[in-house]
Amino acid sequence: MRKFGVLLGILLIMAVGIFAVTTVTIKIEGVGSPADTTRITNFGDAVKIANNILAACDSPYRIKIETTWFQGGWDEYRKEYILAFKAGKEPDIRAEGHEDIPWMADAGYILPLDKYVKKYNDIAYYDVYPSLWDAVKFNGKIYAIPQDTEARPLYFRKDVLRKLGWSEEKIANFPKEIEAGNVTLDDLIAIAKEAVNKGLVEYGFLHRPSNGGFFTMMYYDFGGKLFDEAGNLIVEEKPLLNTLQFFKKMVDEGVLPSSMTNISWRSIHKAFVEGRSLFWFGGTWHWAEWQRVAYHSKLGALPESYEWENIGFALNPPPEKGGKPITMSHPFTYVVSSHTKYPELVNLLLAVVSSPKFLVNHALASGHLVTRASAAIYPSYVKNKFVASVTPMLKYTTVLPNNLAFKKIMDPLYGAVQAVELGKLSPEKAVKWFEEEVKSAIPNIKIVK
Amino acid sequence: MKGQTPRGATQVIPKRAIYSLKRKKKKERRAQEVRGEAVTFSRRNEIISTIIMTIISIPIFLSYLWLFLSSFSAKMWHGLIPLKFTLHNWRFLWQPIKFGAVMHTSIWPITLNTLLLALAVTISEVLVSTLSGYALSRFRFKGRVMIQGMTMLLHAFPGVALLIAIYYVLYTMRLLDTLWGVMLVKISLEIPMSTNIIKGFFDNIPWDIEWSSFVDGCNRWQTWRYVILPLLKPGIAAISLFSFLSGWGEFLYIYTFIFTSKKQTLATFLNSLIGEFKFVDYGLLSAVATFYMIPTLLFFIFTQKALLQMSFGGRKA
Repeated sequence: MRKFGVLLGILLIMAVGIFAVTTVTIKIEGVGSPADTTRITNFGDAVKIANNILAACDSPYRIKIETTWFQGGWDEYRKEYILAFKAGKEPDIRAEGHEDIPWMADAGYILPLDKYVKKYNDIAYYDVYPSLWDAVKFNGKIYAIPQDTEARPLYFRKDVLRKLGWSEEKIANFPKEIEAGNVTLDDLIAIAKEAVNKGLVEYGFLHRPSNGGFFTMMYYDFGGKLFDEAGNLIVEEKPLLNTLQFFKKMVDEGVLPSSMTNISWRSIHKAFVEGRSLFWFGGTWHWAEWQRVAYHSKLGALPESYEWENIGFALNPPPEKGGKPITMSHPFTYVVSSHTKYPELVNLLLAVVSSPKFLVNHALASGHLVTRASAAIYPSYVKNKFVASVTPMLKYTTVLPNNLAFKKIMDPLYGAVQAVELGKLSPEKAVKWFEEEVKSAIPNIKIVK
Repeated sequence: MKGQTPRGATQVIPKRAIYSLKRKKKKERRAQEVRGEAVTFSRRNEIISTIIMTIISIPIFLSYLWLFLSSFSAKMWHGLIPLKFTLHNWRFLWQPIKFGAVMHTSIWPITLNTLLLALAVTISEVLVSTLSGYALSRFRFKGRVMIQGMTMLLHAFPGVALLIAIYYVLYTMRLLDTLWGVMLVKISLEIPMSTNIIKGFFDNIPWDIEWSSFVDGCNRWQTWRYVILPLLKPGIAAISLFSFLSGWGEFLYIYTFIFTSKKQTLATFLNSLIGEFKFVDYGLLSAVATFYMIPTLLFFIFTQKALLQMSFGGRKA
């Protein structure tokens, strides 16, 4: 009897050992506007599916997630990760802009994911747009999973154009005219000047008040390139000068406030949604943000019907007639900490959250665009008027380069724009200043005269 | 006649007499101060000082009033005048705050973290600095002056200058991302100041009192506990208030050394509510800020009486 009891005990312990399930916690952190929070809330449902898969495979692991939403500026977000990483307290998965991949990969903060992309290719990644894979590569390796993308349109106020005497047909055709290359940046300035002079708006244009991809996009718009044929980083002087002259002209014509880079984000959005600015160089996500954040002093958060009635969007016009319009995508990605103890589980979770259902859920909630072809044909995505309207803009899209030294170009470019707008430097002097700054930061950079 | 004031003319008081009168009044006032009596001012001086203090206080008072009113207002006319009463801004008391689809942590664990930090700093500082202040005030030992100088030097370092060094110390001690780590940093950096403050209070307690207690049979510890400590209430109130405020309002170390949202305090929580300013809900921000001020005000109200009793005098044993 005693022997039987011991045997039973041993069997029980073995059974517990065999069937014991270990629950591991995976930390996830995201950032963005209130409209973007699906970037991490999607994981709530994804983890259930991942656990079902693990159970079906008799895996001894189950996943529990801990999510954090960071509210603050980009520099704070980066600083927080660096400090947390050193202390081993960083999240396993983190939402990041693709342009942060070079420094994170170079410093060894994040894992290369080629192995996992290959592993889950047939179910999750086979139809990711190839240009997005380019955006997440550094030194030939994939360091992140594309999470969303977007276009950066030129928003315009339809109600102001109506007051300028434009017909509904002319307003409706305006984006098409821009796409066809019939409207130039100078034409926009002329329209804005007319609206300002007639007292219809306070500002002709508003652009972002902080450093960002927009300024690089304008450099691209004026034909600027950042790489030569051999793949070396370059800056072209002529397009740079034209870009700065464009900002200078907007200020001189009284359609852009000279203190543009000192105006708060909130005041800018408020001015545009209240119809106090004719044009706004924004992003597709702003369409959703205006529906979530109460920028309008009377309406609060905008109903989408108000947006369709009063706000239009188009590609950014070329500088010359017949030119090609432009937009820019800034893909958001998920990166994985190189400290993570469970890379297999983390990547399973990423493969699940990259399924069309979650991508579409995020895109519709946040005004972003999906990263996979199979998500782009999802019924609710196809039916959505806004995403259906902005998706074709991707034909004209550009991205910021994934280059470690690029920030050393981006920062002085923004500084030069600021100096020109504030009247501290002429465009010519700003170009000289920019070149000195860039050459001191990247000695071997080629400045194409 | 010589020495007499002519009839009808104003009596001329010699300047020397006026100065002497002023000196006398000044002396009397100082004597009143030393005796711990309330100093009397002339009616005119009272009115002038009241006007000056009112003018100085108005902006501060108005900003607090604005904060309070906006926390109960659904809308502010031109951002100044409250238009509609609401409790919606105070919803964080009974439900977690939502940011888009994300639910923030409830305010209560965050308040508890803040309270724990403030109380730990207060209790530790009072305990350590009352003992060290007593030793520095009463004992003559080798290195006493140097210790005093060093404590002042440590206090002179701004916290920002020490951030990287503290980060590495906490990293080595595996105390990063823990409230314990921040508590230790706060306590160690605040103790020199509170020791110096409390030493000043000990210096003001006459030796006679201690000697009397020794004569009555008390040892050092009993003298400190039963004789000195009760006389030290204003000093303890002062350092308690300063250390509580310092712990309650701590932002920089929490912001730098804490990475987990569950461990944040009200100061960093407020910062996260502001975020990039773009999405800030001013009503909610005002309500959380008002809530954040309540314990500080309460603490001040309960300790101000003790703070104002700052006179000492020898008594017969």
